[in-house]
Amino acid sequence: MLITTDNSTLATADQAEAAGIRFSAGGPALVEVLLAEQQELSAVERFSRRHDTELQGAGGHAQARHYHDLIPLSLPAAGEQYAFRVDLDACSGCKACVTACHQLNGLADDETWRSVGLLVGEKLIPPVSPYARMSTELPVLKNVTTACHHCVEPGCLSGCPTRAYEKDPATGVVRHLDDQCMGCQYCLLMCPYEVPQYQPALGIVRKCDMCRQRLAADEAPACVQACPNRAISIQIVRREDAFAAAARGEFLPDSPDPRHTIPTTTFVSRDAALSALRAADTFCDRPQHVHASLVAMLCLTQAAVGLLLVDEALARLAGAAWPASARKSAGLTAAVVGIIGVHAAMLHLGRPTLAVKAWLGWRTSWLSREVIVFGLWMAAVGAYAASLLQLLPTNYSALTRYLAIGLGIGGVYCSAMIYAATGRTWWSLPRNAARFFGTMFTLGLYGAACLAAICGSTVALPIAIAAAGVIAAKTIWEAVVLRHYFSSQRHALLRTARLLAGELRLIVDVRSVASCFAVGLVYLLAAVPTYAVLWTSIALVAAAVGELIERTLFFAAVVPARMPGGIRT
Amino acid sequence: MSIDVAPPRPLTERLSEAVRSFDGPLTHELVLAPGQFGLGQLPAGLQPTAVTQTVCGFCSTGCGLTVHLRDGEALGLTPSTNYPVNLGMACPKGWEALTVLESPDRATRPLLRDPSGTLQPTTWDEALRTFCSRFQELQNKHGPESVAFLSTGQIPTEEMLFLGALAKFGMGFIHGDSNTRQCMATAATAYKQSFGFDAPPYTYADFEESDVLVFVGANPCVAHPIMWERVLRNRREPKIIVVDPRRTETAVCATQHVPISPKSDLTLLYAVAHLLIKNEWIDAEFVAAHTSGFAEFAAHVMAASYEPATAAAACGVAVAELEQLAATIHAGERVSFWWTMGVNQSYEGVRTAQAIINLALITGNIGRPGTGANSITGQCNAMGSRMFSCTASLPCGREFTKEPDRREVAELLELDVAKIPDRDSLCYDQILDAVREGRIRGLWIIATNTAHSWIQQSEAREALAKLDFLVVQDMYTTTETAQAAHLVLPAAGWGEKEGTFINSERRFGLLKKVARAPGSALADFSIFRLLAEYWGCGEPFASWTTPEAVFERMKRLSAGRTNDITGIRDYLMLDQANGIQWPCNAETAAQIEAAEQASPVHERRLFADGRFAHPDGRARLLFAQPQGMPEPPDDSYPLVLLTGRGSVSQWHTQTRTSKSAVLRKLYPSRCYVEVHPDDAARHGIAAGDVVAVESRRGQLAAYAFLSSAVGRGRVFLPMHYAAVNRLTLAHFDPYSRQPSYKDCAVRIRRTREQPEA
Repeated sequence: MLITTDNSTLATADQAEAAGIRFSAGGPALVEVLLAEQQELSAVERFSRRHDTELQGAGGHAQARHYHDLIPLSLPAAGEQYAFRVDLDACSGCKACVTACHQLNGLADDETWRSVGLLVGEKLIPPVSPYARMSTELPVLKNVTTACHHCVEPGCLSGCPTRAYEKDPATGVVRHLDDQCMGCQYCLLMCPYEVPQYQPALGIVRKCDMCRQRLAADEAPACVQACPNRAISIQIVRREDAFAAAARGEFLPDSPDPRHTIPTTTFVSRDAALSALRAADTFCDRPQHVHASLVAMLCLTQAAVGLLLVDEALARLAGAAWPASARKSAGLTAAVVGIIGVHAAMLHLGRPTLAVKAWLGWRTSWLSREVIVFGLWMAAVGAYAASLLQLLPTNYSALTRYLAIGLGIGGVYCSAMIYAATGRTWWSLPRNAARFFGTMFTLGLYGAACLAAICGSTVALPIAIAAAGVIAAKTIWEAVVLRHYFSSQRHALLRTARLLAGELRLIVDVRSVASCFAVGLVYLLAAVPTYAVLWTSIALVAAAVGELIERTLFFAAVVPARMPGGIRT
Repeated sequence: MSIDVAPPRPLTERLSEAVRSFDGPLTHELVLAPGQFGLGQLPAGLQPTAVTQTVCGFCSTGCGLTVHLRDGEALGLTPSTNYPVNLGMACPKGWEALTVLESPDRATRPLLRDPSGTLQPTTWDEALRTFCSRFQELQNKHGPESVAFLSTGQIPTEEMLFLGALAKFGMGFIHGDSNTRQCMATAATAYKQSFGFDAPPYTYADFEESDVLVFVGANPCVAHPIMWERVLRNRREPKIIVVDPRRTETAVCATQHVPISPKSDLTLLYAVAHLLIKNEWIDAEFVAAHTSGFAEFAAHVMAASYEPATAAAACGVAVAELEQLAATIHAGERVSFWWTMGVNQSYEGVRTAQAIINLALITGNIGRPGTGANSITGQCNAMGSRMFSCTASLPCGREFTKEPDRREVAELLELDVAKIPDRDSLCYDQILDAVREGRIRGLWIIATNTAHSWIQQSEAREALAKLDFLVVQDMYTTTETAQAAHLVLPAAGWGEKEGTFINSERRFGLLKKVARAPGSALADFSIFRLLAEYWGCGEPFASWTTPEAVFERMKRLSAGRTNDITGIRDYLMLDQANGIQWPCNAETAAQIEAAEQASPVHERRLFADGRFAHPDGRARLLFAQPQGMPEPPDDSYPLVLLTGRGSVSQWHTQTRTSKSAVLRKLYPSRCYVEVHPDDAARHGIAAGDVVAVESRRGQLAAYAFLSSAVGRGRVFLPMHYAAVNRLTLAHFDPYSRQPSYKDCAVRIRRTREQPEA
């Protein structure tokens, strides 16, 4: 606000009265009368009666006359389901559908289940006369209203660890069971269309259910009844046809590959130029939300499993140079770090008490599988720690250790699959495996080097050199993704590379510096072995910080394929 | 049909089902129940016990909204299914109309600036006494012309009449204008000069009944989405022509888009008239019987500069496009012409609007279904302001400068005629000039946001800062203008008071009181009553106790005028008839009461008899030589800046629409600028970069949105971001004094600054 005010001449009412200006005596009383009047609501007694009598007899839904031909008259037959149909040529982008859905479904303050994006581009048009230029470019704008696509193979449903999604066998509506949800938000990653919306106040996710309650009463969904241009309707589609359309790649330009989940929404346009359009928000990517508790969980569990594995290898390779005291410390450290790590994951749940149901989705959900495997791993590593502390007979030690190593590797694999299953290129299985197993060895080796130094073992240096090799290789491999900055526009990692080189640049630099520290300290270890414990401890901290940052970037720099957005700022 | 019956499942499935919660408290949050009153299913917790109908308070479409009530208080709303305007639909602003009433920055108490310069809460008594003493002191010291008010198109007509009458006939103000100067002054002036009365002739049914719709400088898809709904209901397979420099959402849907160079519209329209006359595609009979000035107009447009080749080049379009436009108008049996801010907000807007009116007149496209030269209004009650606000003119087209008009108004309002100023008020721009020059020292601003919306903002803010006394009467304390005030009067808003709005098709719609105003906020109507009392001029207004009582005075003022509403018995009749268009005398009123719903008497148009409001009954064909823009692009500022509405979810300066969490999700939170990809490439700008947009008057930072729709050599900024008017150039139409927001020269470059909020 640039305006400044000058109060020097501001007189008070009292001064004015002193100067002879008189105010009406009735004023203050009238203020009270009008303030009271203001709080009276008059509409009902004065006007509502005619609306009540006119409309009460009508029954049902007066609005039906505007939408009766926009919803099916019958239930889907076997192999069929309900689906949205969007006429892109009719949608003018007014977004009434979004607000109607919000209001008519009683959603939370900023909760929206539908969104409207924009496709832009040009098409070539033929000349308007023989004398005009041969052809000219005509700008095209297409607004895209979109909600849940009620997929034939819903990603949300297959990923949900608590089976809080239900695909209605009769209608095909993908329904979210709100009371079953523990708020892990994995469905937000599994759905390519950004459909499930997390509600922090409730601790759960909610989503479009195609107004199934309205459809059951022969009423149109909120968006259908509110579209001024009749652009949204409900149709019955054959699932077979949905598969065939997805296989042909028919869905919408510049949006996620329909083969992942077989979306059923049909976007219709008579405009031949449609396929050449691009989303208005292409290249306007922002860093994604980073779940700090998941960053911690991934790094800590991987460090713990890595330490167990390195410990086992050293016991076999180094013999007496890896003393029993080191073994004991390694086992106990791994148990404590790992168990803390697994529990850290609970912190991002909206309703942690429901975590007991997280195994239910094991048939399809890698998250369920991870929960089961790490659950068993905690038991195994706990038993191993107990045997090390002689709380359990020591002859259980080997069995529980092997179990913990096996389950731990399995758990890390599940972690990698959780993200790989989302279909995002930045999170492909080879990349995740390299990251997660890389972290396992990096932190396992640095941890072991530290323990060796504490125990005064001679293997500290060779272990540290191996650790430095791993972290150096990993850091260089991570940097290689930046080459995609120069990739063709269509490459999935171009946008990630732009984020890493742009908004996330500082974090990328800190990651590199941390790695350099971790490597440099190994040189100091070799040069000044007197302070081995100090060097290895600092190196471990530097490596851990580096890995936590790497994992932060893992979440922040992912650019999901998404539905076209509007103008992003 | 039922969808809850699932086929039986295998045992293992059923076991796992046992631990799945299909029901529970969270599920119940979203359970729907059958609604009463024909509303269909509604959330179980939001079931109304009564409903009532009101009209929306954002734009001039004037949609009917059914408010769901419990204990007399609004719970929610749905667009009214049977209202003849919107037919069961509303845009996002309408859907969220109640949400924006609840906001932490609502003005709940009068605020008075203390000596340290901060606004401190005070009592109504203190606030009203300060208001009166400060203004009276200024008047006593510097004369009656040293104070002024700036009003709005957002309050009910009854409040506008009360404000105008109170300020000018009670408090002795000479100067008072309205923010409708920024949106409708051009259309009002053009109609008045051409037809003899400010009379938009159409009804919304004309959208559905046209063969050809020509939109000039109008983007109804974004600015008036519910009017676009009516266009899409047209079953006559209409040709839709859009004349606009930008390829807007509406242009994309058109059958022909004429992408003219900015400010070449007047030349284009004259060139079309040239072709129509040259090809003898005119309705000579209608022209002879109902217009005057045809020979002069024809001589003007037959000049060489409107030959197709010359004119097309001047407008930046192909000759064939121009010829196609004229041929389409000729071929249409029913041709309607529509314009909005692209025409009104222009330094030659009045003549441009009249060029459109002339096309309708010479082709006889007026007074019949699906025809007309039709100005689409901006604000919900811009027409109320034009008819009754006593700002630019006396009520119902009367003039301050005409003694008989003053006498009539004095008689009808039972006032002393000497109280009515015999001089015209200064217009908005002239009032601000007078403030800067120290001639006006006290200003009262009601429900408008000058510090954001006025053209060439630095000058406007400089003026506001110079005032000895600035009173802002508003719903919110956070507007840029309220922040500059010495005294803030907290006003109740739409939904918290009664009154009438007049929409674009001349329909009086009724506003209902369905929500409680926060704190001690008062309806503007009550504030005016109190001011009359405190000022000591309450006596002539003693009977102005309710909006409906003032409505009776509006009826009296309209008797025998073009906008006669004497047939509207009362508010109840307005409510029962789903709004009533003016004119409505006793005879029309009887027809309305006898008619079925959705009968033609509910959707009437003017001039069916070819009689216009000039004394000779003829419409005037008015014209002028097109002028170049005062600040054309040059080497240092090579781009033309266009401004306009950005999205459906934003309203003007965002004082209301930014208060809804849902609306906020539907528009870009920070300012963006549309740039053609070729222009962007020339400046090394990529999609999503932040760019500085600079004019000779100021600069702002915005995200670049690359789109060829804006055209080469132009950039577009949405007007809803406060920084935009730092760039615009203060220049005005000479007849309407409307600011020309859509033409000034700018340049762009990459910047590291944060984009404006």
